[in-house]
Amino acid sequence: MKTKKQKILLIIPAYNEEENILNTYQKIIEYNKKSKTNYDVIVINDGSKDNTSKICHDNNIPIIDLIQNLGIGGAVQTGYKYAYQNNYDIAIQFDGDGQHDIKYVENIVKPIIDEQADMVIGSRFIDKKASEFQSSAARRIGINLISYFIKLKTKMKIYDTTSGFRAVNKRIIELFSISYPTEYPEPISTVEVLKYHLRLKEVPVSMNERAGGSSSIYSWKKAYYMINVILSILLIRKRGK
Amino acid sequence: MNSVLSVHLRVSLVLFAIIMAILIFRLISKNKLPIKYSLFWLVALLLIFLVGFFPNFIGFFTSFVGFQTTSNLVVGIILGILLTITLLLTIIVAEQKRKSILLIQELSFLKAKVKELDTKKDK
Repeated sequence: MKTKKQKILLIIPAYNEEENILNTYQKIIEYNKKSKTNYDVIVINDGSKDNTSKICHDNNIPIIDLIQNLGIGGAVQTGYKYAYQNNYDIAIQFDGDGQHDIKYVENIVKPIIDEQADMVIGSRFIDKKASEFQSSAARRIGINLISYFIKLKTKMKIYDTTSGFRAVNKRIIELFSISYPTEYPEPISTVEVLKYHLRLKEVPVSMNERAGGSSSIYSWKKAYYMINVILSILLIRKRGK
Repeated sequence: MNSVLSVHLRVSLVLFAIIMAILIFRLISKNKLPIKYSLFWLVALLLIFLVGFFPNFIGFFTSFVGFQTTSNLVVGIILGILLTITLLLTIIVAEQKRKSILLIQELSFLKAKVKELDTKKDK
């Protein structure tokens, strides 16, 4: 199998995930044994106030403890920097809360290994049958609206704009470790990748409802979030090298 | 000559400008305010000073910009200065944030590395 040659890293940003993190890690290890894959894991503890850090250290889960809370963008970027420093070929963003299913990593990674894409997004909406959990109606409207503006700006249709289940190749690991949006990183980084004329692909995945904890987007912030994301998408310019 | 600003307002503006300028010079000499940021303040204060000293000069602009009275224009000018300073501050804050994110990331990497080396040594 080609997979073995590539160094693959799962970046797991974690903020107060004591309920899920061990379970998530054990599933990955089991999966590695079962399917003879060799996915490495790095947990980025974003200044959790609970026992996330202790659980990781006690169970020998590779972890970087951020000394201050950076928010999802800063935490994920730390993972990309780690991937860059340790010379990984592929980095995958993977949620620590049980939303993402490890068995789909293979599908997400495949277009990159086959050199068909530089970035792959695990999408809930490409194949509706694939995912039972489609998230709430309000959230879907938001995702579609972001999708519309991304199309407007980049001429490309991205269905699951806020999916945090994504894989990138070496080139993008380097780009992201240099510069990664700290605010609303999922949609914004997608647009930036497109603006660099890198190849983006969506593959269908199924997501579970969160096993515990709460999502990072609070309901009262949703409208504010939408306006900000849309503005940022419209104002993005191709960054100079 | 009839001025477009009342004498009271003119004296207040000139005094305000002088007192603030003295304050800023003292802050600079005590190294509490970098020259880089103080220059903008000093220019702003000079503007306020000039308005108080030569009100007829800006009186010309009052109707041109659409204000009813020159004193309102003075408030408008000061508001403009404040907004500009706030914008500059926002830029500085964003830059600081970017830098502290970098610091937090790098320091966290180092701490993780040190911890790793320590546990290796213990074994």
